[in-house]
Amino acid sequence: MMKVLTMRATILSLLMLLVATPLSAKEKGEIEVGKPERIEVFPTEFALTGVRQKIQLVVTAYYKNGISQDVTSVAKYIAASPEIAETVGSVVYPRGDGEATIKVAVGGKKVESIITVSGQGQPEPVSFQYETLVALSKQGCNAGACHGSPSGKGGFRLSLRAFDPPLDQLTLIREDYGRRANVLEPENSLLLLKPTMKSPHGGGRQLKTSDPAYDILSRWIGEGCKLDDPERSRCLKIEIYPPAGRVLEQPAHFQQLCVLAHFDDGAIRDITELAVYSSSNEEVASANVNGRVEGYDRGEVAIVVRYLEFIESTFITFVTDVEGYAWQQIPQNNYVDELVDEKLQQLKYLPSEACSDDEFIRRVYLDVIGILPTVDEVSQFAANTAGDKRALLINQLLDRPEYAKFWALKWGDLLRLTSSQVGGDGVYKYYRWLETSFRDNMPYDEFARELLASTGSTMNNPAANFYRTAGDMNDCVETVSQVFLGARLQCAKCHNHPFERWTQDNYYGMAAFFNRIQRKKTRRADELFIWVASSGEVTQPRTGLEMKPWLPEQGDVEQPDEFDRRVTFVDWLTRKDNRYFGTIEVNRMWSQLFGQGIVDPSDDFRDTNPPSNAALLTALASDFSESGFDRKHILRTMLNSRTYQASFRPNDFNETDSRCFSHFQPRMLSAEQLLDAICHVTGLPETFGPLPAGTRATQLPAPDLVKNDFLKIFGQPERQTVCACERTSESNLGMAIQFFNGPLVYNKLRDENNRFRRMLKEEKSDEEIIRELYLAAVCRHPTDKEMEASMNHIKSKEDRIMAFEDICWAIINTNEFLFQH
Amino acid sequence: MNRTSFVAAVVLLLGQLAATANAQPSISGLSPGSIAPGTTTEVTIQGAKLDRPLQIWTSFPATVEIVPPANEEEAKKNDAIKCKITPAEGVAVGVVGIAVGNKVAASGIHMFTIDDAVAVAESGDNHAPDGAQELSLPAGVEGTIDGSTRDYFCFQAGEGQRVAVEVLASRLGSAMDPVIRLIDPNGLEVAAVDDVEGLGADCRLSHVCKAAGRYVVEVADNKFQGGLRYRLRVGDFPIVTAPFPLGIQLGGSIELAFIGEDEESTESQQLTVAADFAGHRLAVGARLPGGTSSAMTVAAVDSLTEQLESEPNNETGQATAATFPGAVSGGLQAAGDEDYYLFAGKQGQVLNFQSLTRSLGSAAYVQLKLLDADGKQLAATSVSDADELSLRYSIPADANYQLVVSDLLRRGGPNYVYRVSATLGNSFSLSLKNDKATINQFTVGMGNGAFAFPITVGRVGYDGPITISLQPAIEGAQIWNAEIAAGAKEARPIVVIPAGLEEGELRFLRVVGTATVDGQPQTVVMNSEGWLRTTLPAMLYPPAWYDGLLSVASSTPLEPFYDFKAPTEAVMFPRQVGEINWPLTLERKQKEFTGAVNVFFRGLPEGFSASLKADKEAYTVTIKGPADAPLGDLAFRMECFGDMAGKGQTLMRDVVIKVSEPLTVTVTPVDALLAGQKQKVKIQVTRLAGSEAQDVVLTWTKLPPGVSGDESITIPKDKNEIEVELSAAADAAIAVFEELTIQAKSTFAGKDVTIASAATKIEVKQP
Repeated sequence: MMKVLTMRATILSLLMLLVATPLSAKEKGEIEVGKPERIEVFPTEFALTGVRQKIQLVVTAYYKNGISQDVTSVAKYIAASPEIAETVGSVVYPRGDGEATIKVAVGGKKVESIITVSGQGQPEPVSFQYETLVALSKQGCNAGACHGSPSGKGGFRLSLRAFDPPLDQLTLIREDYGRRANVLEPENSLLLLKPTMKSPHGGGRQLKTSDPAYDILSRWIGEGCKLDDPERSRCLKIEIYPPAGRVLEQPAHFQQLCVLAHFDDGAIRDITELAVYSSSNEEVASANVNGRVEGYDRGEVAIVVRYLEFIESTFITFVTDVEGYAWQQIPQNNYVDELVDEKLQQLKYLPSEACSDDEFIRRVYLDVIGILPTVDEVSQFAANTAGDKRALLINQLLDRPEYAKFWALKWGDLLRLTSSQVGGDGVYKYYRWLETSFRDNMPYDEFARELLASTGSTMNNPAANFYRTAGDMNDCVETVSQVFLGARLQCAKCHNHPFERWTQDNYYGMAAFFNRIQRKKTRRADELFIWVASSGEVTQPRTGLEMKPWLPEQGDVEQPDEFDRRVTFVDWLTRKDNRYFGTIEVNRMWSQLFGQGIVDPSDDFRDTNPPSNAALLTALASDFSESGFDRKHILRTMLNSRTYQASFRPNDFNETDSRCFSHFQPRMLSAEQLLDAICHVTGLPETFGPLPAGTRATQLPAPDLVKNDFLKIFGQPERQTVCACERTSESNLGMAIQFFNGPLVYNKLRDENNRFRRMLKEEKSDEEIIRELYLAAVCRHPTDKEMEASMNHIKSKEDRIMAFEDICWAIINTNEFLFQH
Repeated sequence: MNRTSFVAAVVLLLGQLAATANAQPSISGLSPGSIAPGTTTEVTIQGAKLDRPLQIWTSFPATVEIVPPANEEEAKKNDAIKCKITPAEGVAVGVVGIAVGNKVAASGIHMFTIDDAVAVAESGDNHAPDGAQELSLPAGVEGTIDGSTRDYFCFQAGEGQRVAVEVLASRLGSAMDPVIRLIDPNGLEVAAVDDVEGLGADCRLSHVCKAAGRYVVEVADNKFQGGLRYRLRVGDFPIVTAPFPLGIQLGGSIELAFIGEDEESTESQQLTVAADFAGHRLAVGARLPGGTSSAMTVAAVDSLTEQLESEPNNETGQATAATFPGAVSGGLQAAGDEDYYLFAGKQGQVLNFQSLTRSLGSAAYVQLKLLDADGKQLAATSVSDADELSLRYSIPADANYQLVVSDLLRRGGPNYVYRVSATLGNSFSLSLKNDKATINQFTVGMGNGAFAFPITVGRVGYDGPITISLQPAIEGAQIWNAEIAAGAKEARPIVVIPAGLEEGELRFLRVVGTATVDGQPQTVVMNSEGWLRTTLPAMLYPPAWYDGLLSVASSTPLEPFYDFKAPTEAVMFPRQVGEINWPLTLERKQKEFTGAVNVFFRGLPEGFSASLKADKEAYTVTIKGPADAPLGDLAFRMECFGDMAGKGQTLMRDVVIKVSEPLTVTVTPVDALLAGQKQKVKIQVTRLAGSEAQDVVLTWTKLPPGVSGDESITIPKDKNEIEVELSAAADAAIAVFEELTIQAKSTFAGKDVTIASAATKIEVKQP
């Protein structure tokens, strides 16, 4: 076990090394403009319609070699008509109505931006919602750790990230006898005194008088703390420039962003200085309060921009030089390899060589059917000289009954398949339904439809158990969104999601698809009958509004299916162009094979958790939908890829890679795989309660059918949640004890009928037995050194049987045995 | 079919008598596991304590002949008995029951099948496809599943041959949840089924064999339970859900078609139901033309006129005309189908609509709506945990109305048939109380045997009294508590059988309640479906013949298991007090008897009442009567009932009440009273036993003229007499005074009592 821990520690330390080594200032270098082929300014045209508006210009230089960089900070800006518009750095401010040209020059190139200015003779009152609340958000006042916590802080409570403007109105204007805002002397308002620390503030200094937020707040107070006109235009969306996909190669490592808010009256406002920025990986890059991104290391990062409930992100890739690196193309088996190579090439990693046949057969057996190959299967595969023997084996494994059982186990985790949740009878039926769906390779859209639109008896239609485990409307929303949309929506039940685009309205809008699901008991014990009521609406608890069914990226559904709204939901969900549905599943399958998802965790899709290879994920999802949501097809594609078949051994140019699949990432076997593997090596199967002889741990319908301490210690999930995170292989002392002298290992080693004892009785030679133990455990013959060491150990022991106990014990304590590699 | 009654098996006792053991007989199985309809089958009843002489009861009309043991050794055995069973003509395939009784007790009912698939016993070593047990079709295998193993059976099939496979388990009360797979000669699964909606946990399938060869049927339990019984049927029977129409009127004759997967090809049949048919469901077999085995279906039976749905009737304006009260049979042909029925309602009519689906094998969960003629909804069933919903509606005005029938999930197809019955007015129901302690099988010892059963009374608009009787009646039997009081929701009649049964006789009874409801006599048979569901939880719809059935076996006299220690002498009743308590101690003669004893007081004199209060084993009888009850002896009877595991015993006690005064007082002058002098008078009181002695206060009520005494005299509670003095004035009248009387006051049992003495003579003389 210590070796296991050591290996894990090694991997961890490698990761730490990777993330803890930012590039030095010298490596980053200053902005070297050089000689661009052309430059671009964004926006090329813009209208400033109020006295307090401005526009952040973003200038990009493009070079002959195809690379580009942001030169906003080093460009020169000349306002042709300063009485109309003038510049401060790269920001343009209005001065008088009219049209002005801003001339931008850098690297010997020039471009222009036309600015139309209007409304300069009119006041522009501060918007409560779009400026005041935004300013509070910008400064973090309404964050969950501050006044946005459910009970507020210091007697001052704001809604979390301004999701509840009416509450904030009350708090800011009415509460505390109005002392928070001093209309006559705005600068003496508590709202300004405290965050500037002119008055004691538990949260410390959060605001400077030079901050844009200070100006907004003091103006709003000075204007009498007015609320917005109900007829005021509403924000529809925000837009980020540059859009996703920008690649910055060293020495380029800055990127200025420009964020625009689009309103329903057609107006567009620059909100760059008001928006809140966060990075998906602060070790790779971060953004400052003005929307300027600075890269530190190679990698891809999502910069998430939040403005009230609007959240958008842009992806930027930072590339650095690697000394001695030169791309060497090795054979690609399919598009998976092409797209992985693209990413590797972009980030300057080299893929590892292909794994050996020994490694492959062990890996593919464990990944596809959950168990180790028999000694005969290993030998036959080794003896096979066909060029396509790996592909043939993959096909054979996908057709084996163990495939269906093993993948039913994985989905059993997601569907909370336990006897306590679906009943003692139902658990077997639900499992059998899952197993059959994998055996018959039920298309994934059909699979989802059978689950999500299920009705009737949980016995006759086991898929209806989905609504037994998801026992109420909230559970339905959260389960469906996590399993099929990859979104963890629990937060949005009570407030807008603090980090994601999901709002409370979205939550209850989705709930409107599921609130009519009813459950009734029947005469048959343990049976539930799932049916759909013909009426019933969802009320948003905060607003009290009746919610229409709502779909992501579709909005409100005006005419859902009249009998069962879920049908409308499933129709949408399983559409080929649904960017969530197939993507989540291919990512999940990828995660099962590679140990980590392209989005990881595999059920946590969000802007702040971008895919490590978006193109690959998109291609897989597209292939998946085009194949008719054929899971075996996708598995076959992944398994046949060179990427899957790569060695776990890193080379000099991919040691630090843990996200781009340049080499196979070893991972510990799951609890069930480990137990089956021990049984396999020792030749002593376990029995599991009433289940038929021959049932393996990887084929258990539910974890609560049989109590097995070994499985629990090694992370068998209780299946209490739909979160993939419930299954864990985090090492613990119990694991170590199990392998040192735990009853399972001990008893199997001492059993009279174990593999090596049987062979001893059959008078097999020491060498034969050692060879078979290695083939059974790690699918390869022992090396000469291993054979020699083993033989020496036997010779050194008086008791031959005990010597083999030691050898077998040693083998199953190796990383090679314990890890999928 | 001319099925008549559920009972009345003719029993021929031809066996030699064997020693009676003191234990209840039981049946563990039959061999063969089923009997064929219309022919005689020799059956070995396997079990324990099957001591002769035995009586055999079947739930279907049949001739049963016990085969005499072949030799003495066989006669001594009590673990099997052979008999020949010949079902009466017209008895259909289906689940039936058999029980035995002897002088000790009766066995429980063993359910089995009447089946035209040839009975085969499971070999027991058929746990692998290669070792599958060979079957010749049609075959009906009586099997037991062995936990984690699966059972395999095989048969030869020709190319294109259609084969039907069915497993009965829950319909036989077994907890097995069967899963079957059909494997073709290449070892590939060609069909599999777990549950079939409408059959509970049971399942069936049919398959047309693409290739000739050896096919294997795999039978497993869903969750690998062991030791559970099942019946596998493999043959050419049709896959049908139910007969159509789904209901048959008592005394009616009807041509039945069949609904289901094979409805097109299943032969229809003419069926007649006797007017006195007892039961609410009837087994009906169905075959394909030229078929050798039958599907088992069930039809409803009641007194209502059966009407059929006429398509199209999917909306207002297309409704099928119907008359209610009555019943309609229909089918939801396709998903989304709604069936409309138009009927004329009269103001004040109260209609009770009851849907029947699952109990008849249908997969539908039917909901009902009532609309007016224009389609406006007036009422609808509330979805509850019940499988078959009902609706009670009071018609508001003379007009046409529409009944709409649909599936809860708007499903449709051959499995989605229904029957909706509508009865009129108020009603009541009687159910065997669904309680752990309830039993339906009783043993009555000769001489003092009795049994009791708890009833739950359901009342729909009727709150009046209900009278209980037995059907068929037992000659000489009495029913204590036969009248269920108005408004009562529970009752516990006790059937006392001092005579009327022979020793070793086995009777099966039903309980009937009669009452006058809405001015009309109404008779209702007690059901036991709820209790049977608890007792046999796997069986969703117990067979109709089982519903409400009670069995009574008469045994040799039983050792008394209780007695009462009660005063043997007459009970003194203090008249003025009007109430007396006396102790009664329950003596348990057998430690197994731990229950209570019911005591009834019969023949109490007019104005008297009695009650019993228990404090553990000590009972106190309280008798109340009028304060002016005539003095003297009165008699009544205590009738007691105790029950031990269905073996009830009665105990009778005659009691004499002696009505007495609680206190008597006499005055006895010592001598004549001389004018101007004093004389002693002796006063004696007698206190009635039964209360703690108290002081007696005496007051003279009549003294001779010129004579005086103490105004108040007290005899302490520890004394019974006292001497007092009377003083005669000097001018007291000289005479013989005949009415010297005194009044005594005291308390008895906490109550004030006042007694006057009898008049006494005293002479007043001159000195």
